[in-house]
Amino acid sequence: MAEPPAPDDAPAAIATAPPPAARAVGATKTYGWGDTAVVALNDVTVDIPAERYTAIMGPSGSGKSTLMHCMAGLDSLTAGQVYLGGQELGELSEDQLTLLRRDRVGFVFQTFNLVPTLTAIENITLPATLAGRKPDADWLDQVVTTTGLADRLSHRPSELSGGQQQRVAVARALANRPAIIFADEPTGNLDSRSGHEILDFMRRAVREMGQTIVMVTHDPVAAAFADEALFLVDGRIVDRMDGPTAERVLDRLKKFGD
Amino acid sequence: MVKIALRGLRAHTWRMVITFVAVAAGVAFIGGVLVLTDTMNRTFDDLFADVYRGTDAVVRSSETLDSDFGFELRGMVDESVLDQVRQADGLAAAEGSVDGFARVIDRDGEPVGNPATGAPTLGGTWVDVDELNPFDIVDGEAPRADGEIVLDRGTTESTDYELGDAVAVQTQVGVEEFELVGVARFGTADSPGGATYVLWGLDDAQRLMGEPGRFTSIGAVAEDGVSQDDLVASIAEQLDDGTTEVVSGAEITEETQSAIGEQLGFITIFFLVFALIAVFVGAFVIYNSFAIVVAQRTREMALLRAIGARRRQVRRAVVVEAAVVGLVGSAIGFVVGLGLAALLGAVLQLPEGALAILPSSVVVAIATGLIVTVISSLVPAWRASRVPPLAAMRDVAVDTSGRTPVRFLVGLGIVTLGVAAVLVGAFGSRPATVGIGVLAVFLGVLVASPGLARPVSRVLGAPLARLRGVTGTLARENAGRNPKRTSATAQALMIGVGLVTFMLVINTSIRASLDKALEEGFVGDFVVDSGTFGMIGLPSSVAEEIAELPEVAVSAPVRFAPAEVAGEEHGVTGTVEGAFEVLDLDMVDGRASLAPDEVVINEDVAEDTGLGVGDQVEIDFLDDARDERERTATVSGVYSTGPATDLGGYVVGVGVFQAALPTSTDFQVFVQLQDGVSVAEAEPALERIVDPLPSAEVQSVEEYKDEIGGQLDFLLRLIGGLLALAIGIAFLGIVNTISLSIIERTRELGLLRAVGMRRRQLRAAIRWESAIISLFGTLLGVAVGLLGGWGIVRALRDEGFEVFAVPLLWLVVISVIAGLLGLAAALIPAWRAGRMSVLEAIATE
Repeated sequence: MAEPPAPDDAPAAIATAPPPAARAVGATKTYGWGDTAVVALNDVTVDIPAERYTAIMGPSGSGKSTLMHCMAGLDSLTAGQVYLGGQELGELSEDQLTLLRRDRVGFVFQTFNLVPTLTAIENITLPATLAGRKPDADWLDQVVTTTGLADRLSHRPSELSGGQQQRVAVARALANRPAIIFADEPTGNLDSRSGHEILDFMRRAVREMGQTIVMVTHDPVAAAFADEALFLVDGRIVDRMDGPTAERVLDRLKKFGD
Repeated sequence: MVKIALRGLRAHTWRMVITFVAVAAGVAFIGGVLVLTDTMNRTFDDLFADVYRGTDAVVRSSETLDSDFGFELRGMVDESVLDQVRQADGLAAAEGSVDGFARVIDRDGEPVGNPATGAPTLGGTWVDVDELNPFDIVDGEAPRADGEIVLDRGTTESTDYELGDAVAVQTQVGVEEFELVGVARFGTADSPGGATYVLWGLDDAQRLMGEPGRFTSIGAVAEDGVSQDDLVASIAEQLDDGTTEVVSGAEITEETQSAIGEQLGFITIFFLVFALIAVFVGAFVIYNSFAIVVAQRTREMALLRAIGARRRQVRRAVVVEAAVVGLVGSAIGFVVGLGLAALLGAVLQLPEGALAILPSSVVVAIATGLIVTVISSLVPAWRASRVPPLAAMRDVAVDTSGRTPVRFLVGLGIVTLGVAAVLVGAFGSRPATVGIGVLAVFLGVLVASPGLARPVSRVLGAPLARLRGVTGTLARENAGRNPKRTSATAQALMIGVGLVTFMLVINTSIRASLDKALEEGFVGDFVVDSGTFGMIGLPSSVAEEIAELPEVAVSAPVRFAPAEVAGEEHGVTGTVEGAFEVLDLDMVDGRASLAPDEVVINEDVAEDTGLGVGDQVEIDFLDDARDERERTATVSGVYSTGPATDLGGYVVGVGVFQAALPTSTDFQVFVQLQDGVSVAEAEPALERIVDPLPSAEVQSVEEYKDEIGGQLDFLLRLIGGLLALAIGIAFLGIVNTISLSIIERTRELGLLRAVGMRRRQLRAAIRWESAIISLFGTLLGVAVGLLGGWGIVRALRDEGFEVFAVPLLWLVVISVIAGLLGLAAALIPAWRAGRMSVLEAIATE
């Protein structure tokens, strides 16, 4: 495993904080060739701090989803490197990437998060069972209790509401105690009350359970739950914001229109 | 809407590939059978037109009896008739001839060809009148003296016999050597339809295949300018005997052609049954394809409905799509069928020439494919038309429809009725009722099986889930998630497996019953078998010589002939008293006495006719030697038939046959050894007697059992081979269902891969799902096949099916193979699923 090179502009203060959970260095992703080439990520270098809730914001087409997919090992870069917990993803084979996703990454997608043939609890423990492991019972208990799913565990996804389904998805992401959780517009398909529940729950997972979550969203209200917001425009990181609020985020987003 | 249907089809053509194959395979089978039998029919028509080309009239015996083998036996005519024919006006030439069976023996002492399983081995008379002789000498000359023969060129080429060689030929009188003096061609063919042909001069032919002084028939040629009808009329004037008749050349040609046509008709029907089974199985595959494609296009259908398409229009779009698939698939299938027919024609050595493609064959084959495809699409089409416009925005979830308790209960009710019918038929000795019952069970399973798919998948998948963890659990759940789809896929397999199981049960039961019957009912040690189904039987000398061996206690020959007994056509058996002993047949009345004027009857005949010991019966053999033509016999005893040992309704002494039918031969000789003589000690002596007859065999009881078993196995293999296509189509159906289901589950598979399922885990889950479906169908098939087999065996208990035996080993083998094939069926779909890009899969709509 290659040690990630320290970013040139690394402030000394970071030395006392835990090492970043994920890091992109010069990450570039282009689609197509020649004149029709589209640059989705343009030389992005960024640290995702551990045990923090990071929101990636940006208008559609800004490359935020591509950045997330590349950092999660679902997609590969055209140039540059991505590190997850010190491991460079570019040098991993397809199967090693699969194992990495299984063991060290959690996912929450916008829709279609659950396997319809499996019950809630089977969905939650899916990564562990795929690995042939028994999930940690105490931890699982804690996750299930926190998500308030205790009485829904034997239900299939079709018997759950949208909000409940998303909670199961979050529980699955947490159940494995992954190094990092990627959430792609996790509240995009929910009403605002269910959405708040999920966002609040994810924030508690970071604060109380010490998880690391990266959330892609275009909703300023969702971003307000995060500890930090990154702003992407045209494949570049243009800004970072600590302790974002919906108003500040909205203001910031408005500027992109100019 | 038609345009939409065609666009839809074009967009999804590759999803329909297997559907096309399913349609085409069935149509190819039907088309191939029709074209092949039409071609054979035409070939034989041409052949017999050639044979009788120069013949203007035929004189023959007017006495006929139906043999038990489905063809007519005809008497012979006396030589004196030829003199009468020659008196007729307008006659250019007339000649008598004798036809029969003869078997050429090759240089290694092995008989050429086997009339029991292949083309006939025939013998005939070399007729010097060119018009009456379909053969032409191509090498050497015609037989001029006794002891000379001509062979067809097909036979000389396969045996390497050359002019001047001594050729051994087996006939009803045994084996003799003849000098090959000529090689002949049959019209333009080396051999008439693959048959072997030995041609003798008249004296030899009469001695070897009939009897001196008699002909099989007399051919006549008219003078120039005399019509066939005129010649027939003038010959008829000359005939004074009421037992002869004269027919024109045109009539005999047509008669022979239609007789062959009838035989071919049976063959056509036999094969068409299997073709229709294949088509029926294909219908399930077609239905499933359309059902799945419609499900996948729910949103498209909903959108069409939302923007104003009427239900009828949506329905029609699907049906039009099916019609196009059916038509194109059928057309492809018919072309493939032509290829098959040509291939088989070559294998069967049909003369080269164009296939007989009748317009009716084209219409029947293609219409069948088209109609079956359209019908199979009706339910999916109806379902498509029920898609509410709002479904445009709904997610595709687990479709659990078809599992209504009502439907399951109705199905269960039909199954129960069916089982009841099977039971009634089985215990009431009514096989037809059993058949109807099995059909009902099948239909009931059809209705109920969506309700079975889930629980059965659960049970079958339970060990998998335990052993394979989440991979197994997913396989199990996926196999049961769409019960209608799973059950339709499984049912296609159930049909083929059910029929194979049924055949296996019948086969095993026959063999077990036979074993039991022989063990209980046969106290002999050997059976000497003619090896030709009696077409060239054993000369009387065989049984006589065996009887003289010191090792032998009883030598009981058995020969059969049709006769008129008390005014009714009935088979008569000729044997010796010892036969009752060897076959362990008990007398219920009288004695087993076979003096020349005595007859022994069996219980059935006694019951049917009311005959009893001391009653008189008139027996009139066809072609009886003149002086003893009508013989009256007294019933000396009544015997009870054993389970599989039966000498027939009327049994007379073999001497009666020898007197009345001098040319008759033995079908088999049962041999019982003296006490204390072992089978091994006696065998060499028996072999020495039978050795000169290459087609005859000395069989110990074990060998005899194997022989009969071997004949059954041949039939089993034939039917198994014919069912293979249906089973193959069923497995294509599994490939189809799995492939199409995977497309439907793209996002789900993407999700699984995203959260860490490895490619090989994904592939394994899909393969196991396929194996579960396959096993589901196989088990249903085995169950229905066992039920039907048991029912038939039980219903026919009195006909010799004493033992119901389950081919357990075979059933296990079939189930294992089905599981493995199920795994194999998913190889390609699983591979494709594994290669799917995770990101694209997640993003799929």
